[in-house]
Amino acid sequence: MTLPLADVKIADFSWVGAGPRATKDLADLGATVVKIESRKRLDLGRLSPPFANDRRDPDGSAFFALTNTSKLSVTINLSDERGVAVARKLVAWADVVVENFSPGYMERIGLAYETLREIKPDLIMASVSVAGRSGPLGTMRGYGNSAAALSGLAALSGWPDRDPHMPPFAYGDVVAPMFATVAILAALAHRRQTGEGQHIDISQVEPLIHTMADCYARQPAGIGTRSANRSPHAAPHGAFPTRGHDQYIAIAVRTDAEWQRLAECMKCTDARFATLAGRKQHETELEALLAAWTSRFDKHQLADHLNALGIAAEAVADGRDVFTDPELQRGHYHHVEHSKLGRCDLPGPPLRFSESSLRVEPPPRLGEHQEQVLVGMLGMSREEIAALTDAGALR
Amino acid sequence: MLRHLRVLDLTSELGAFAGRMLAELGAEVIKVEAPDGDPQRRDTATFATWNHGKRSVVAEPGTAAFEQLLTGADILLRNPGLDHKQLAAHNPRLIDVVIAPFLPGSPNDARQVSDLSLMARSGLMSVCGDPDRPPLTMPGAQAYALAAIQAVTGALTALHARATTGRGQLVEVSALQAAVLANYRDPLTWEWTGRIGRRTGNLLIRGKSGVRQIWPCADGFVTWALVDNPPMMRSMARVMGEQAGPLASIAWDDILVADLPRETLAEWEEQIAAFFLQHTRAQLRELSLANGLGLSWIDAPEDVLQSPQWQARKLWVDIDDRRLPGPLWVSTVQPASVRRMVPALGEANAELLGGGQ
Repeated sequence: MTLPLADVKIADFSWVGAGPRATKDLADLGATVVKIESRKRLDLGRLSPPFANDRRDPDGSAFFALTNTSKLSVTINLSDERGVAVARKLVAWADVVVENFSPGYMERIGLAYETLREIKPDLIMASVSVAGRSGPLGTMRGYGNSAAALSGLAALSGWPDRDPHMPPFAYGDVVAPMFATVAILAALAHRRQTGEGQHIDISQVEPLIHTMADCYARQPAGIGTRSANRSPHAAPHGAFPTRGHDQYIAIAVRTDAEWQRLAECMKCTDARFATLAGRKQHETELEALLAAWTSRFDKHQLADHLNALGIAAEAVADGRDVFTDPELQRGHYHHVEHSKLGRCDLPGPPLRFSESSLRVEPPPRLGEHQEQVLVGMLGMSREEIAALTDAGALR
Repeated sequence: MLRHLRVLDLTSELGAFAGRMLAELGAEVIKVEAPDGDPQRRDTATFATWNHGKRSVVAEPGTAAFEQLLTGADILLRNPGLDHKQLAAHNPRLIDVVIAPFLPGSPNDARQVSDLSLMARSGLMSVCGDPDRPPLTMPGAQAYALAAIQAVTGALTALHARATTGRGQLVEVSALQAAVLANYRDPLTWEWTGRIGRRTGNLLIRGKSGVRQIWPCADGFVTWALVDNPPMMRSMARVMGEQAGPLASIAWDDILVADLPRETLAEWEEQIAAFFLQHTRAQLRELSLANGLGLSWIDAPEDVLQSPQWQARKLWVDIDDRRLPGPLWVSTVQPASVRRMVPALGEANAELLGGGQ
């Protein structure tokens, strides 16, 4: 079996999360991804803990590893014109350019889409930014949590009686690159049909609005407000305490028949809860009753028991539960041998192909593939590279 | 962009957004329904959300009508149940995408699933919410949405491979794995440090310490955090002027904010909180845009629906008195023409299957 994207070449100028997660997807599926980095301006992901042996080391960040598997790395100084000239050679080699710099940066260094098209007329370029490159916020800078703020994710998260809640991870850095991956694959399909390239402008906000579109669809009815774990379609629907310190089980009762089975199990005979309407009307009481019952059981055992009754329930897993979940040994975690991190488990695409393979290879050390890329792929001479290196253009 | 593709969509709920995305990209997406329709039709808002832009035909797997559709299809989107070999025998070029809660072929195949249960198992819930209350899921059905996006990635990847091999294949998507892939911090943190992340309310944990990320201002809320981005931190200290206090004299390049003790951060955050309280959302927004502070004002859903930004980018489409997101992104290629309507059950039977259906 072969890697399905083995013939796709990507010049990846992106950093931190919003671009690199997209190029990780594509690299794991076989694309040759060359990550353009600089010692002068390190990918902040390389500076993010946890580190191997707890020592700050740009080649030893496990956080960086997770997001940069299967890629190659070259260092190029993009504030030096001679460095930019090398970057242009990489663009000429590539099918796809990915970047998520602050608005205007690529233009300032002479790598705007319009310029790059002259080098490579059918170029596919994907730019990821907080609010997109057009519109009144087109020059805005920010982080993944800006996307949560501007998309309504923060306002719709949390408890109705408390402040908006910011999920403690940059969810905009997760969903936008997934859209970028789809956009690049769709653009490759379009290019196969028409020969035409394109510049794709992806915001971090719009993808979040799309994944919450059902909340927006309920807006006219005025029920698209913060509701913690509750659902208009199911009750009980939430997380309930179980045995042990700060342990919970998530339970979703979707039909009256499911409730009947749960009620029998709990020995609850309260007729007010027989219908969804009744359960919604008395939901606070219902939740208190259920919480008192669940707190007697182990979260994993209770989840299995409720599943046997045909009720959707799972233990609320913490980081350890996830890392040790046997289900995730079936294709999620891949063993990787890394020069600094040693043997570690890194996640791969959540996909299984019957006729294609995928890979999860170690992330590159900073500038690890200088020779392989510049000599092997771009055909530059070693003398030229040495001269450029001495001049500081390849730092 | 994908005008040349025909997609059959048998999903309900889990995976329904995949066909939505492909329809938005110009593919002809045909929702294939049982005579009594996708059960999700009972909830008109949710059904409209995930199905606008698709066509609808009534045809049951195994019938001649279904096989007629299958013959011309490039991609089939479905949940587990049908036999891939039979489908492939009928159309060897078919890309058969199965969107499943768990990678098929384990004891978990029989497990009951909801988006909430997958969010719980993914670990994403364990860190969302306040320490004094139960963990929280996220708004909408995020595990289902993540699985659907991955399904499109899988489908288009297999399409790319088909351009070389001429053959379709089976692509299976694990919704649990899709959600766990989004949980980029907690399993990793346990693997490397043995630490278990807990709910911290609105404190953002990075490295060894945590930083505040929701702040009241004069007329609402904004989000901003002390992070390891020296230029951004210097800008904030400059904008705060005399109110910066200790922030003015920090050598941001020489420290790792993520590893500072919480007490130090709290002291700095007190200065910032006082500054924010004296300014409105609009003022802070202008200061941030002009100085690159990386601050955001928090928009409520009604603000998002009215925002000039998303209107300028033509994000919203109005269908049956509902405002729903349409285009996925902006491109130099003309957007596909998409049917801005929710398909009635079987509306395309005559057109796509011929008379008598």
